Amino acid sequence: MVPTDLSTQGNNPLMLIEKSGFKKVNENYLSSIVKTDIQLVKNLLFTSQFGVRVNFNNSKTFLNAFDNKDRNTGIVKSFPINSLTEIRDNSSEYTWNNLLTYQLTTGPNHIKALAGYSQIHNYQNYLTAYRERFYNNDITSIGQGADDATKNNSGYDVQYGLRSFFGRINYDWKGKYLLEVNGRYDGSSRFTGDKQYGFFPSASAGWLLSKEEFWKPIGNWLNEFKLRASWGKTGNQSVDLYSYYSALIAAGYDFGGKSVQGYRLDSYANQQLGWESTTQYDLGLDAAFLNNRLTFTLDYYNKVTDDILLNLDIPAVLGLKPSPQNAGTVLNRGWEFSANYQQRPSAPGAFAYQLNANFSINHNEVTDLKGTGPYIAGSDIDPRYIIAKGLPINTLWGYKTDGIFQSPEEIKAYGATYATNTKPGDVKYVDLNGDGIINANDMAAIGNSFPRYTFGINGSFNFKNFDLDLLFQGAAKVDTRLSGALAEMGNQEGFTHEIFTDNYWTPTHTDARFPRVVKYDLRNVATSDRLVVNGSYLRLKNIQLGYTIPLNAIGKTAINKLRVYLSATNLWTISKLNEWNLDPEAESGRAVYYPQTGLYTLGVNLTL
Amino acid sequence: MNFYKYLCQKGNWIFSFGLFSLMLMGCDKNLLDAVPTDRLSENIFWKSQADAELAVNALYNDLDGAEIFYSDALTDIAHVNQPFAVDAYIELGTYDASSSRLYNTWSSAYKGIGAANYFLANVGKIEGSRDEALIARFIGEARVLRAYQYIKLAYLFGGVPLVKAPLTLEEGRAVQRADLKEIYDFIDTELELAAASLPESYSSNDVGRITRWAALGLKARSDLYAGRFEAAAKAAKTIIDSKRFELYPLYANLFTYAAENNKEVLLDKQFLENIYTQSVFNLLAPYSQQNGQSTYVPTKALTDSYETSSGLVITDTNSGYDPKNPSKNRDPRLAFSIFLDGDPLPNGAIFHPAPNSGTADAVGSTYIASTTGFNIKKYIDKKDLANPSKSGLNIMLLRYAEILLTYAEAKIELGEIDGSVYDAINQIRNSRTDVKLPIISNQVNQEQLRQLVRRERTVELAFEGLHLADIRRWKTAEKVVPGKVYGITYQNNNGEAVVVEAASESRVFDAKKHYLWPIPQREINLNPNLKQNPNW
Repeated sequence: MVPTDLSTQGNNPLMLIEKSGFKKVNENYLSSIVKTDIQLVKNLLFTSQFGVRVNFNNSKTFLNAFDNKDRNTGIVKSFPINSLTEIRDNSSEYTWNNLLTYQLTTGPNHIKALAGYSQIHNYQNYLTAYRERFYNNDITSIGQGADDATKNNSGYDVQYGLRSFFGRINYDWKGKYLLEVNGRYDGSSRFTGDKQYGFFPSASAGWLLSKEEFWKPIGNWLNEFKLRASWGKTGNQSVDLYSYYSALIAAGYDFGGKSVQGYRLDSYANQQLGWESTTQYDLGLDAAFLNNRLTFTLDYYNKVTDDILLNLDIPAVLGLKPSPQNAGTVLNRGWEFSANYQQRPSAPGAFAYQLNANFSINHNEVTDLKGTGPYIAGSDIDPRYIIAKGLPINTLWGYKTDGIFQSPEEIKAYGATYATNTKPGDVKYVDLNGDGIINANDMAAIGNSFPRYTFGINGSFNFKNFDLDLLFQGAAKVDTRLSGALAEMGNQEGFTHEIFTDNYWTPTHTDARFPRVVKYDLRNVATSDRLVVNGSYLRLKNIQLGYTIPLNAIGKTAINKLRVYLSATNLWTISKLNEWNLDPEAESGRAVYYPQTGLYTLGVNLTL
Repeated sequence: MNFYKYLCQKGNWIFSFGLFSLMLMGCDKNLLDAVPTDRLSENIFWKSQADAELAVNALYNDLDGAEIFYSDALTDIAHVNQPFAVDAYIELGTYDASSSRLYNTWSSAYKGIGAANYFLANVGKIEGSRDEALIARFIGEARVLRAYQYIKLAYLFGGVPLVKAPLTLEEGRAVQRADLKEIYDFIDTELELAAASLPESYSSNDVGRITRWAALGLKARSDLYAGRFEAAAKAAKTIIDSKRFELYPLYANLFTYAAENNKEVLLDKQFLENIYTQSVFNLLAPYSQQNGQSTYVPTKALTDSYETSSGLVITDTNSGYDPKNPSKNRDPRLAFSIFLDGDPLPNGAIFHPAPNSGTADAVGSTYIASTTGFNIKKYIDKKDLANPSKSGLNIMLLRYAEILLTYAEAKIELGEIDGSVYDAINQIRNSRTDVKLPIISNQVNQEQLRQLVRRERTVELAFEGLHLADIRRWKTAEKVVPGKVYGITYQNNNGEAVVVEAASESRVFDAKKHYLWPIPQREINLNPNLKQNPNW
């Protein structure tokens, strides 16, 4: 009834669960579609589809008024005021798609053409209301709270639209030469003026060499061989609504005890905001060997994203909040490779297996920021990222270090130190620019947020009635930044990870892994490569072992198939993050994510 | 119509469907021009005089409210209670250009400057009937509100970019720092211009707006900071001679609801309970009072600055100071400004901060309770106990006591010590009903008077956000800031008098660089034209 261990620093979660109140969320939606297909003339089909979707969401959050006293310490936590926050969040959206499709096959030619028009219109209406001081914690209807100045309501209304014209032509000749041409012309309400519309063409071609006469001599071992090439532009409009709109928001004040209304400009309206576009070309080949048992796919791609939409800082001297910008150009370039080998059973029940492996390399680089930047976000305790020309996007940023000082002589000889009263046991930060001061100008790239290599292996094996499936996945050349309590080493009175136990520098333990502990001081936990851990990993993501029970063993029944299986996920991982209890699949940052579960399942499949 | 007839006669429903489709497209021709209904387009604003008033009202949001309190905690007179707070690194001298306090102070000042610039650039657009005097008043208000921010930036960062009109993004990425002199010249001109068009007072519905006297008072402050003593004295003298202002009789009540809008106030940030609120009670009150956060707490260095009731400093052997009971026989402002052992608290309990007192306010009992054993009493009004984060108590930004002290200080620095100087000081020391310190007679030399007026300024205006500027311009920071932070004197269990030492490392103040904050690194990253301050 009365949870103990109350602390002045925070609230016992158990107390909050039991006593703090409730939150109820209702989400309802209605969706309907009308569709018609009309065969206008032979080979020409008109399709029109009109859809409406309406969402009604509401929530009620009631916070109880209560007192709670810790029986052991006598500390009382007091929440004297109960309150209700009620939210209505309604939205509606209609989509309307019209397509004309034309298909024609004459002799070896196969043509498919498509032209279309679509539009989306979305409206959202949001309303929130607040009252407090209800008679007791059971009276929870909005009208029953105090009808005075503490009541509060607020809301907003927004809408957006998207209009697209598009077309596509596919052509193939005897299935040997393949050609596709696409074009779309998209308009978005998120932009204004001549920035509203963007044109995004693309084309691809393929040549199935293995269907050619000249291929016949090698066709018996290289069964299929195809070359592919494509080029295209795609658009992205994902920015906050009305980023271009120069608007004033309500900002009241009061004079002589009476409120007055006021209006002010809040954000920097970026009227030049427009579509982000990605131009990509891709060269690839598909090949099959050994009677199609072994297949390969290889792709090289080069992707240039221009006018990338980012929420970047603007100089504070403007006095306005930043709005999204078409910030610059980002390059992604790399290889993708996959192979599949299948060994079919030589006889029923004989050993059979299939192996699939994939591997990709990606190089990411910010190639242009229109002469601005670098943009640095984060702090010491949370990851510090940089967006700068020549570096991968969101590169980890911080000091380089060179071990730990062991003696006052060493400190003296070293020169620049982070803290004026540096002592043995403190971290040696590197004065990169050699100006005798350790400051932000000495920071450098200290790690990758995104992996350079990713890979996976999937195997399935069958023998008699047994089947086994394995899935490995992994990534390499990626880094994780320790943050929060894992970075602080407990210097802020918080908890620490057990990895620090008996492993920090003291005059008698000078070969410790971690520096000396200095309370309330950042000197040994400033953003540096010491807080960056190699995030590469290999993980057995999934394993499943099954056994299909031979039905003749149990006599004739209505059952067609009966299989029992044992499976496990996230069973085994190799990574340097293991000792930090961090998940390599999670982003850097405070480990406040819900951890992935290691799941063990025993199951039965039954087919009647 | 013929076309419709054709469609109907032929029963050509395919075309009808097509037409329906076109109609739908037509109906939604505004699809891509979604005009929001929850904000006001700039294009429809700036039409009438009422718009100008709405826009000038909003500028008052950028005045400081509870923000004034942090800066004293970076000086000798107060302390950042929680060692992991951003301000604590500044107090200790271990901060750098990436400190969020620096950035937030910088950006909120420029937010105010940008808003005033936007107002001044657009107010000319209004059409229709306009009362020119009223428009001139609005412009005056905006100029003063802008100058207010520059005064702050100048003493914190030195010569900052002087932005006088709205900037484009490209301009913002290229602005350069102005000379400090240029900033102070601008402030001077602006405040003089504004003073000419602003009224001397407002009727009740407009109380709290910028008056001529607020403009002149800020000018006196700015000139004092700039070392322009003649101009400072002149501006202060104009205000004194107007006889519109007087010291509120009860210092004890000056910082409570009872004294709002009294005759000592030249400028304040106006608040309204539950509607337009500040949370000073929650920020500063002792922990026992609705989990008050004691964010910034007074130090022994400050309490030692108060004279004894006989008007002598505590180191004077005749002062009557009792080291075992330091709060006895003291300048009454000590007890009016700081919660001391035995004081009644807003909730009726008695304040007992001694580490061995066993109360919630005992030093060390929690990490929240005051680590010096002192708590700020100014602006802690009993009325806010019930709702400590929704206080409506106005926060004074410029009061007559400062004008008197500015006048006295400027005259002393000029070497023009006459009766008016003594009068100004003695008003502070002796004219309130509840502050009666012995008056100063004319047998004191310039250096003694300088020390006296500095001491008066320190104690009279403690926790009002002015002391950081003072120790920077006096160049005393390098002497008063470094070292440990001490608190109350209490009797330990053996009956010995013990002085509390606040749990933190020694403060460091490096005179080579700490007299100015560095320009925030975030801002330099975006604008390479901004040169960093020396030695940062």
